[in-house]
Amino acid sequence: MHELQRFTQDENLKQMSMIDPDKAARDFDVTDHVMKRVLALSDRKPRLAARLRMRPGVALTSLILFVVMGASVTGYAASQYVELQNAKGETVLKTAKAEETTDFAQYLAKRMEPYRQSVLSQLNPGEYAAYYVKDDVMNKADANNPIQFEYKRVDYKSFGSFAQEMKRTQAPVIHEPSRLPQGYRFDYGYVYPKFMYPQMSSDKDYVRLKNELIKQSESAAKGEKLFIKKLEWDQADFSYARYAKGSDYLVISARTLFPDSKLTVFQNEQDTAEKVSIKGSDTYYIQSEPTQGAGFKSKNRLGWIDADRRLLFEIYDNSASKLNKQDLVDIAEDLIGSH
Amino acid sequence: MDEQLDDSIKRVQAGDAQQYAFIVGAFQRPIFVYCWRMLGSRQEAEDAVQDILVRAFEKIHMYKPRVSFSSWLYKIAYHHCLNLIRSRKRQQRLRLGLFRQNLTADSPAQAMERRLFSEPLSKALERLTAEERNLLVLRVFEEKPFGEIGEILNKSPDAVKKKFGRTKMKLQKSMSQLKEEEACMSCNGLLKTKI
Repeated sequence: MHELQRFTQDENLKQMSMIDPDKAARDFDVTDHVMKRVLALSDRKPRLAARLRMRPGVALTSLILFVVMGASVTGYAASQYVELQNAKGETVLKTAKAEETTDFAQYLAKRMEPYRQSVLSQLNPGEYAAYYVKDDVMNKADANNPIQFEYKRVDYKSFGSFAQEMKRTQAPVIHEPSRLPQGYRFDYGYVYPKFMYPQMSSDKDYVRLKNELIKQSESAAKGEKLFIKKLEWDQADFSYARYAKGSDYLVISARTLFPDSKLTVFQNEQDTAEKVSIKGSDTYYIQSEPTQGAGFKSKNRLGWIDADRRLLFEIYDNSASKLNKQDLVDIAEDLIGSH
Repeated sequence: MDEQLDDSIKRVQAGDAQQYAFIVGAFQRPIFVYCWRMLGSRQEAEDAVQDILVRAFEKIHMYKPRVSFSSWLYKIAYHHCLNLIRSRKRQQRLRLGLFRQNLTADSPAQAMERRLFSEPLSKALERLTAEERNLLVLRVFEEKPFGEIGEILNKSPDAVKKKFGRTKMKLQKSMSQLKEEEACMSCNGLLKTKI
């Protein structure tokens, strides 16, 4: 009865409307106006996948966004984040809340994974390859940069052989720390090839490679989707050393930066960051509480820019580690100014 | 339609901006009528729809199918209309303060154009807040279920239902008051005539 009364009241109100929506909107069409603005915007809009693939293939445990100086960067003000400046007083690194991964980005990564695995299975350790997947959804996500890269890494089990590989490939040098937390031993180390096409679609060699692989895909048999080209490489721009104690681990990494790089180091919302001065160098230290689900899984992270060598160093551990800030500071003291 | 819409959303999120035309085609008319009812002006609604659809395109990478795309879009439309109504009120206050002498009334045609609802409802609606008017528009005129309104307003369906009940009471009270005031006015007129 009440429902009926309510319905009648609503209907009475409705009858007081002096416009008939169907009639009023029948000829309404702003598609052209909207699409004109949308298409103008889409030309300027940074592609999602381009952002995700800033540094193709490198196993990033802490996501870092590299932006060339002068480009706009999202603002933030909360005190839980820190900024590091260079000698001229310009901000060259800041920490910020990580953007939530969209369902689409996850969907894209999931869709890409079988191809990535397939490429890795076809490479020998130490081989680096470019590949193209004939998949409209993935390629439209980043129409200008449809080529992916993968490297089958070689893990060096002794620091000596790892050091030799860093030297051979002119990789950023990580010195063996003299002070390690008790019980931690060198587990393995590897280098990662320097990315050859930092300008991506503005690079002639990249465009040539892209055209070659796409051409292959066009003349391939129906159903064939993956097209691979192995690349020669001799220089690395990333070094990774892992130390372990049982199931706990500690990583030291060093990465070559582009000139005038401006970095954003992402942290979980509940993490706290602070600036720590070590041997006259500013470093950032991020402490995390254990998190459920997605997010960065380190308990402690400490990083800094070596401006002389244009390198970003990072030290981090696993989320269940028993290490504290001082353990990481001790290692950093060893590494800063060790070259 | 839903499947085609889902596919278009995914394609636009993947960078195919041309596919957005399908989304514009599917939603421009309902959003236009909604804006018209919220803003009370056809001209403002026409501009608002375009801004809303462009805004939605800019934010589409953030859309997650946890809520329906329609609710997500209406949420953008709601906030856009709310901002327009608030800024219009600010301007009116400013105009009233600074240019009281120059203030001109709407022409009869403009007044008619602004009047979307018949007299008692039209005046009673003016006494509601923009939030209350939105609730009424979505529920009564757009016939949206409480669950969907909850998605648009970030509230539980129960909370929306209660608020809707209170809004309707307020509206009915206003309408009764207006009828009484009108009766009183006629009564005064009659008395004056007699004197």
